[in-house]
Amino acid sequence: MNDFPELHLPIATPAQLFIGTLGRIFIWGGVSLFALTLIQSLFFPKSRKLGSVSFVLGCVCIFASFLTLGSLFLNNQYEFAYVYEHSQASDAAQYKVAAIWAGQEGSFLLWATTSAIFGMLTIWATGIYRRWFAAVYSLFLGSICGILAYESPFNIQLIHGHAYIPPTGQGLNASLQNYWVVIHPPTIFLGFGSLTVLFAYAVSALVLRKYQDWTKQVRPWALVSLSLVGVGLCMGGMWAYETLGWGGFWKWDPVENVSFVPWCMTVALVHGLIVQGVRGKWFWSNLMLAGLPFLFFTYGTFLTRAGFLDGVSVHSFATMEHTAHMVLLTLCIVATAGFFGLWGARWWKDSRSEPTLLAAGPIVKANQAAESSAGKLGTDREGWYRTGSLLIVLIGIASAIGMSVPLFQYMAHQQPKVVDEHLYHLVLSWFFIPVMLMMAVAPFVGWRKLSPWDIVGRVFNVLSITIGLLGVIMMVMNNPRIGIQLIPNQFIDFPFKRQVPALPWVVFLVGICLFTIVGNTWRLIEMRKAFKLSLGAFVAHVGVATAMSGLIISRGLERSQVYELQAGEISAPVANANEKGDLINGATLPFTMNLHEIDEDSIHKPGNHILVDIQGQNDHYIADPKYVLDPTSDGDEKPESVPDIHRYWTHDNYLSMGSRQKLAGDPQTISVGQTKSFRLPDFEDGVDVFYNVKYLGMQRVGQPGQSGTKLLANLEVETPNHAKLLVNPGMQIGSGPLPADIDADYFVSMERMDAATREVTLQMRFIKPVYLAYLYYKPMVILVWIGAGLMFLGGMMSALYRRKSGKPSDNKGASSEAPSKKNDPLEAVSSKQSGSKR
Amino acid sequence: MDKKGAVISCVSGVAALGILTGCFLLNASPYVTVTEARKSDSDGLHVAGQVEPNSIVSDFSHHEVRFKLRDAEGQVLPIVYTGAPVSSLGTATKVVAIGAMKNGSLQSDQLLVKCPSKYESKPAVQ
Repeated sequence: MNDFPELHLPIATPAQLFIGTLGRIFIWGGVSLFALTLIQSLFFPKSRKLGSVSFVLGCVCIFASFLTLGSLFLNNQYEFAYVYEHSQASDAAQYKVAAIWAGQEGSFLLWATTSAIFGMLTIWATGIYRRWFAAVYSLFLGSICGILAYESPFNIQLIHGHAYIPPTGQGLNASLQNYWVVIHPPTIFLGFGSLTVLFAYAVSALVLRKYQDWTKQVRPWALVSLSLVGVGLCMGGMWAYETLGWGGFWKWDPVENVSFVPWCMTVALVHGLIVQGVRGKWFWSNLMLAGLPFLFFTYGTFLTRAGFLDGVSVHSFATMEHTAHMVLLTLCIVATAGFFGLWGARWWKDSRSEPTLLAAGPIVKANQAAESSAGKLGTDREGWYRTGSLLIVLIGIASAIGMSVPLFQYMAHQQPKVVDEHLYHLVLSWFFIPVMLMMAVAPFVGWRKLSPWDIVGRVFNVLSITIGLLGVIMMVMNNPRIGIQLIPNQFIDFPFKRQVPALPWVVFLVGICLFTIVGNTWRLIEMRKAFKLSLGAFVAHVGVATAMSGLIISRGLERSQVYELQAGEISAPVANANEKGDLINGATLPFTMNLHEIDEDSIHKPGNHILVDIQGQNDHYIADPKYVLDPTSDGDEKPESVPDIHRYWTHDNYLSMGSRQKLAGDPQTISVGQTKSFRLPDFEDGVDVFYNVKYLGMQRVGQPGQSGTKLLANLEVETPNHAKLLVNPGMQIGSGPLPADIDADYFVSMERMDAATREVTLQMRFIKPVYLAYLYYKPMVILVWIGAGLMFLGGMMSALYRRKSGKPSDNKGASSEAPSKKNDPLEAVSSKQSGSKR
Repeated sequence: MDKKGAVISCVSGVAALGILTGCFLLNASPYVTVTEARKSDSDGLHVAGQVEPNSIVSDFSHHEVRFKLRDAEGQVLPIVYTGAPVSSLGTATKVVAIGAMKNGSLQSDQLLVKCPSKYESKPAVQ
C-alpha cells in the first residue's frame, strides 16, 4: 500500500480524514446559514423564526468546527498542515488546546467563535432592533466563515499524493509554552467578539432611527467588552513580562495597539452612555463610539496582516491567503464606509429636522429640566465626561495613527518609517496626565453645575490625603531596608529635546495616580450603601490608577545590571559603564551570583533549567531560568530562555539569560619571534587582564603530510601574575585542532596556520563558558497585578448591576443614573448650596 | 451640549489630531538602507537586514555584541550593540538594528529580532 517505503509512515484512514472534511462542512455550513439569516432579515422580515433557527444553527456550526479542530490537535492528527505546524506529540494537553489559536487560521476561528457566543447571548433581548442586529451580525459571521473557507485550518498536507501521518509536528514555540498562551488569547478574543454586539446595536439604531432605546440594552455589554479587552490587555503585558526577557509590559507594538485602540473607544462609549442615560444627550457620539471599537479592531487585523508592518514589528505576521485577505479587506471597507455613510446620512437629516425622533423618556426630561434650572456658571459632570472622553478618544486615535505610519508612508511611496516606543511616551503622557486628573476629580462633580472653587472645596480633603500619603511613600522608599536606593542623575526625554530628572517626574506621575486612587476610594466608601450601581466604576478607576502607577514605578525606577557567569565561580556585578566611564545604570545592584555546574547533555534538551544562586544583602535565593541551547545549522548554538522572576511585596528580581560565550577576546595573528598581548576579561574584579604571548616557532611531530602528524605552535605565555608558561596548541592532520590549556581560566587554540610564512592565528577561550546574564530590579510590580484585578472586578461589578437594573422594559436604569439627593451626600450639599445662592 | 461647545470640541479635536499626525510623521524613525545610513547623521535610524553568518562576536570587556548586517541591497554594515542581551540573534531571520552611525558602524542599543516562528503570539501577540 505504501508506495514510498522510505517514509515508513502510516497513511491516514478515510475515517481520520473525514474529521477534517467535517470541519470544512461546518465552515461552509456557517457561510450558507448566515447568508440565509441575512437574506431573511433583509427581505423576509416576517419569517423571523426561520432567521432565528438559521442564526443559531450557524453559530452551532462555528462551535462545531472549533471543536473539530480541537479534536484534531488532541488526537495528534499531524496529516493536517495546521496541526502539524502548531503542535507536537509531546506537548501537554493544554498546549494542544492552545495550539488551536496558535496560527492565523485558528485566530480567525477563535474570533468567529467568541463573536458567535456573544451573538447567541444577546440576540434574544434585542427587542425592536432584532431584525437589523441579526442582519449585521450574520453578515460579519458569514464573512469570517468565508475567510476560513479559503484559509482553512483543515487542509491536509499531501506528501507524494498521500496523507501520511508524521509521528509528531513542529510544536508550539517553546518560549510560548506557559499558562498565558492558554488563557490570554481566549480572554482578549472574548473581548473582541463582544465588540461585534456594540457595532450591531449601533447600526440597528441608525437604520431604525431609534437613537435612545438601544443604550439601556447595550450598556451591560459595553461594560463586559471594556472589562474583557482591558483584562486581556493586562494579560498580554504580563505574558510579555514573564517570557520575553526585556523586563517590560508594553512596547507600543502595532499588535498591542490593535487591542488598545478599541479599548480606548469603549471607555469613551461607557461614559457617553451614562450621559445619554441621564441627560438624553450625546446620541450621535455614542452611536459613533459604539461602532468604532469594532471598526478599529477589524482595521488593525487587516493592517497587521497586510505586509506593511513586515519588519517594522517584532511580531511575526504570516501573510494571509490572497482570497481570504481580500474578503477581510472588503469586510473592512464595507463596514467602515457603510457605517460612516449611514451615520453621516442620519446625522445630516435627523440632528436638525426631527427633534421628536430623539425624544427622551420622562426621567431624562426631568433631569434636563433640573439641568436647565441650575446656575449657568461652572462645570458639571457632563462637561468633565466630555473632556475626558475626548482625551481618551484622542489617545486611541493617536495610537491608531502611530501604528498606521508605515501604511501612510507606503501609500505616499515614501521611505518606511516607524513610531518608536519613546515617541509614544513623549506624546501620550500629555494626554495621560489630564485623563488621570479627571478620573480623580470627576466622581466629586455632580450633574449640577459647580464653580471651580466648589470643586476644589470638594476634592480638598482628597488632595490633602494624597499629598500626605505621597510623603509617607517617599519616606518608605528612602528606607534602605524596604525601599529602593534611588538612582541619581537619571533623566527622561521631554519634547523639544529637553530632559528632566527621572525621580521627580516619576514622583509627580505617581502622585497623580495616587490622587485618583484616593479620590475614588473616598467615593467608594461614601457611596457603598447608597448607590451600588457606581461602586464598580470607582473600583475600576482605582484599578486603572493602581496599574498605571505600577507600570510607571517599575519602569521609571528600574535598575539593571550585567553579570557574566561561569559555573562554580562567584560573579560580582560588572560595572555598567559607558565610554566616559560613567555608570549608566546607576549604582550597581547589591547582588552576587553563583552559577551551578551545567550538564552539557541536558542543556540541549527541551525544558532545561539552569540554577543560579543569588545572594543579596538581606536575602538569598536560587533562580532557575529556563535555558536551552539549540544547535543551529551553521555550527552555532541558539539559546532559548525564559527569565526567572523572584517576586517580593516591594519588588521583582528579574533574571534574564543571554548567550553563552566560549571565545575570550579577539583572535590575533602572530609571526615567529613576535610577542602579542591578549586582553581578556576577568570577572572577579571586573578589570581586564593581559596575557603576553611570544611565538617561538613551529614544531612538527610525525611525518609531513601523514595522517596523525601533529603541527604545534611553541608559545611562551606570560600570565598576569608574571608566571611564564610554555604552551603548545596546534592541529593534528586528519583529526583537527589540538587546543592547549594555559591556566585554570583560559585555553588557547590555533585557528589558522600559514605554511609559507609560518604565521598562526590564535584564539583565547574560556575553560568554563561564560553566560551573559541581566538582572533587573523592578520596584512595585505587584501594583500592576493588583490594578489589573481591580479593573476587571470593577468592570464586572458594573456590568452585573447594570444587567439587573437595565432590562429593556425597566426604567430604574435611568432613574438610578443620577443619584437622588438623599442618597449622595455630595448631591445633597450641592442642592443646599445652589438653594442658598438662589 | 450646546452648539458652541460642540464646535469648540470638534475644532480642538481636529486640531489635536492634525498636530498628533504631524508629530508622529515628522518624528517617526526612518527605515534606511545601509547606503543611506552611512550618509545620515541622525539618531534612531532603523536598519533592517540579515545577520551575516559567523559574524557575531560578544565583546565582554566593552559589554557589547558586534555583528554584521546585510541589507536587501546586499550592502554590509557593522553593528555595535550595547543593549540588553538578545538570545535569539543567532537564528533570527531578520534583524532591525536601531541607533546612530559612529565611526563607520551603527551604534545600537535596541534590536528587533524576528524569529522563524509561525506563531503570532499575541494573536493578533508576540
